[in-house]
Amino acid sequence: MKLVAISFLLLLLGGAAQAADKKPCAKVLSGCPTRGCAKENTADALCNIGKHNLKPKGEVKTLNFKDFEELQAQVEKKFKGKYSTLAKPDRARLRKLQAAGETVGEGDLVQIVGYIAMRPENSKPHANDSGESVNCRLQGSENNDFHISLTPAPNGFEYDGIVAEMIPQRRAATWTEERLRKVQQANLMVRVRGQLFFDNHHKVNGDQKHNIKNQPKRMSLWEVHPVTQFDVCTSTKCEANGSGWKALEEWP
Amino acid sequence: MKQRAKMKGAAWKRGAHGLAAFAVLVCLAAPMRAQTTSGTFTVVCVARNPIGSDELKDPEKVITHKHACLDAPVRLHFGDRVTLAVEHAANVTFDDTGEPNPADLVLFLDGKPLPGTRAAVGASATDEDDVTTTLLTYHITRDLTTQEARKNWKDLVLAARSGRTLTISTGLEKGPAAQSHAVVEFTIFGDRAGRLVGWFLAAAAGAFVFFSIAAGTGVLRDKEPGEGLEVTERAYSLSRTQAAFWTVLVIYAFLFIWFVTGEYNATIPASVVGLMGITLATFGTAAALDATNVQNNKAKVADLKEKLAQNPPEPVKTTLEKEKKQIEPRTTVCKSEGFWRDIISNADGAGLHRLQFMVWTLALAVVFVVNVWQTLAMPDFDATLLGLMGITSGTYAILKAPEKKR
Repeated sequence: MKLVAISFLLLLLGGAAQAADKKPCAKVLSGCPTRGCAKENTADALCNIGKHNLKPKGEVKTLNFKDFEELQAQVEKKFKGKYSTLAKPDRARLRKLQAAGETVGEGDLVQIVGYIAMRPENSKPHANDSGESVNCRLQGSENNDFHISLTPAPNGFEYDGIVAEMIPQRRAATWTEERLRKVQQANLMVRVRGQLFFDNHHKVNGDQKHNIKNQPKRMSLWEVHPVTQFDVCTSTKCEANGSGWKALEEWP
Repeated sequence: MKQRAKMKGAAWKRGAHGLAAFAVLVCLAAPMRAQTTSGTFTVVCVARNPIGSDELKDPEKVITHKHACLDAPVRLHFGDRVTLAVEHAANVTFDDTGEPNPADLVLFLDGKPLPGTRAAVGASATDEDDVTTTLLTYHITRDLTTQEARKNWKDLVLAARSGRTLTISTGLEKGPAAQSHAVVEFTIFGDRAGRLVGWFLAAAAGAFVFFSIAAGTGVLRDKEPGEGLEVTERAYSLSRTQAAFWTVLVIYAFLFIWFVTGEYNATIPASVVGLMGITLATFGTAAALDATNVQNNKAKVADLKEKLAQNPPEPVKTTLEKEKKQIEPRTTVCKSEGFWRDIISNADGAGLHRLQFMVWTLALAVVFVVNVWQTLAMPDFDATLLGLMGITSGTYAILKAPEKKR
């Protein structure tokens, strides 16, 4: 009996400790530092700071889904699969990779053309409103990233795609979940521009048969994060650098 | 039926144990997740040191790509020098607080910073990813001036005694350790094991000399005039014994730490000096009280002798003679009735204040010895503990004043 009481007490204490760990670390988004809830000068802080970079480097480079897959393979090889913690020098090793016949890396301005994933059934662009460290664990869609799964073909599966994130800081008021879902439902081609970022806090979850619980479905951890421009194809077919694109804020 | 109940009980017990284990895991999980890693540096390995000057003509070939790394886990102990190959990158596009100066980085062992260890910055080279590898050399030393530093050192010694390999890293003293791929074996005695044997021999010889002196002289015995009593027949003194005991303990500890670590400066914390002060003050007070009592009693005896010389009438004479007989033994030292009996009792039998004084001394001595063995450092007793020792000593001195010698 005594043992059960002690166990219960320990469980309560453990629960309390975990709850404290999940508490928001800022009252409002404007008071949330770029490092989010991570401690200063840590690998986690570096990752969070990277996710806030709205000024990616260089001229826009066009990548396709194959390139994202190839970039993932290069990282796997470079880090031998051990990349859950990446300090500055490790992140520096993400800067000079090869894709689309040129040198690309984290921090570069890239663009990709694809479709918003339609499958599995409940797939839809959504705010990560469970409270992420990067946004000081604040609740609500206005305080969180919009998670968009992009796939190479219409009606695509999240497992075959990559992830793009629209961060809440300086996000256009017209970039809404509702509008993104309309684009998804219309099965329209989209062009997403933003920073090429390697989200090492996740795991590749690209095999439907071996789904990893609580991990976003994607074949590469390389993301477009944050999204700086989101265009919708209004013609029958659009080329990455061609015409026929309309900015999301002006669509439909 | 009984068997079933027994089995049910056992199953319940197993379940309770499982629940307890789960609860402990849940509790442990929270702080474990909270651990962070420095975002500025990555420790690649323990590197060769020194690297030949010929080799350094082309540092990129020698230092980058783990060329300077040692293959097998390195065996280190106190006083050694160790070189780490540390990667850093200055040109990342996003930055938090800027890079700290490598010279401000202290050594981390098993995730604990070792204040006082400062890096000597060695050669560096930059690879094709614009990642710079710098060699940082540390002298494994310690700074025990803060409670946190003492705790870290103690944890490290305990971890080293467990025999497991320890992560070696670097970082700012107040910050987290850098991510590290390097492990070392940290041994407490290392090649100083011979010195430890030396210490044991010296300690044994010292103990022999000490006990010989204690037995053959009156160093631990009362010092008052002992007419008709050999020095070795006199009673043992509690305060002298205590003062000698602490002196010997501190000397042994000092020598032990010096033999094992080679360190002789700043190994005696202020609180141990304070403790010695209390001990010696108690001894001084007790000796002064004994001397005063002897003096007073001698004066009283002389006075009584004078009165008796005047040949007073009978009832008065008997009273004076009785009084003289009572006081006379207190003008000289008592005869020993054995060590333990001498130090815990007076003429009225065992004294609680003496017993308390002795037991408390022994308790602190155990803490002292265990700490020295565990941490290779003398413990820094806090003010409360020292205060308690002071009160115990004070109580002994106050209650000793009126006590009768056996």
